[in-house]
Amino acid sequence: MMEDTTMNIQNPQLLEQVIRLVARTGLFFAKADGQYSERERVFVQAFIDLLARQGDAAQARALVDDATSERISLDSLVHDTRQVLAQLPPDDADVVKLLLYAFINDVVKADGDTCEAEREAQRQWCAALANPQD
Amino acid sequence: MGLLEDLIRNTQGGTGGGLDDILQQLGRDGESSSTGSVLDEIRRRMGGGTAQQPGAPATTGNAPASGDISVEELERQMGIGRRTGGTSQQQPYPQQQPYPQQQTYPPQQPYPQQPYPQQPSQVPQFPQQQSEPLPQQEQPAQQQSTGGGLMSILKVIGLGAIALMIMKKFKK
Repeated sequence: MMEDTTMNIQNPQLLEQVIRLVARTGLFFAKADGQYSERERVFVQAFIDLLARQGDAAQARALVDDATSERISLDSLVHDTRQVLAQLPPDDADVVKLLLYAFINDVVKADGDTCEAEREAQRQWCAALANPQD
Repeated sequence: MGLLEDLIRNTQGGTGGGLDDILQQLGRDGESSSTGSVLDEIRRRMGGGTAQQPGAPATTGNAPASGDISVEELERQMGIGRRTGGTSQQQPYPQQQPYPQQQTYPPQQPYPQQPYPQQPSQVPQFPQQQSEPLPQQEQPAQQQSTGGGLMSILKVIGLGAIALMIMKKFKK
């Protein structure tokens, strides 16, 4: 697990899940316009580099590479998100949910142009997360 | 009050249902443009960031390109730790302006001293109570506490946001 105390967490498995979730969420929404461009690769690489500065570089790379190598669907993303949220106290889960929403919002606006596919994916994510029991 | 301001208000209040309602609303209406100010508000309330200087550019990924802050500044504001001996060279942060010197107040006049009435030195003794051990109560099963875990999770999301900023700066 991450060595640095700044990333210390009582449940290291949960932190790994969050890292995978952020990597997959960023990539999924960045690709929602149907294009996997050099910019998306930059996002993944930058995320790995930033994580590496917090702890074990090799593990950070392995985690993110593994998380982003498989096909990412909205359903799997929602499932992963719910898994993370379910492990948190309700107040914390709300904060994390809110920040993930803000993060997605930034991703879809990143290229300065929001296409309908991105908006639709965001709508579906919101609707799914608003109904945790589905 | 904007939609996202409602969102954070409900988050603070811990009313999960309210947040879910608003999230659903967001899903119907599309995104709000005020996400950035909400993130600032979260940082402020969680004590993780620094107060915005007057006239400073917005501190989120939604800032216009001309007012973009540097990645280093964003890291600093989000309190993201750094490892020493890393490969990347760190830029020193700009030196802060010294605060204007505080005005000194004139020395206070001493209060006139008055003698207190003498108190009786004897304190009545209470009979010693027999202390009985309290019956042990069964603790209800608690939801797993993440301890300092929330901040770690927020940092990971913050790193994702910074990676996104780096991606934005990448020229096509």
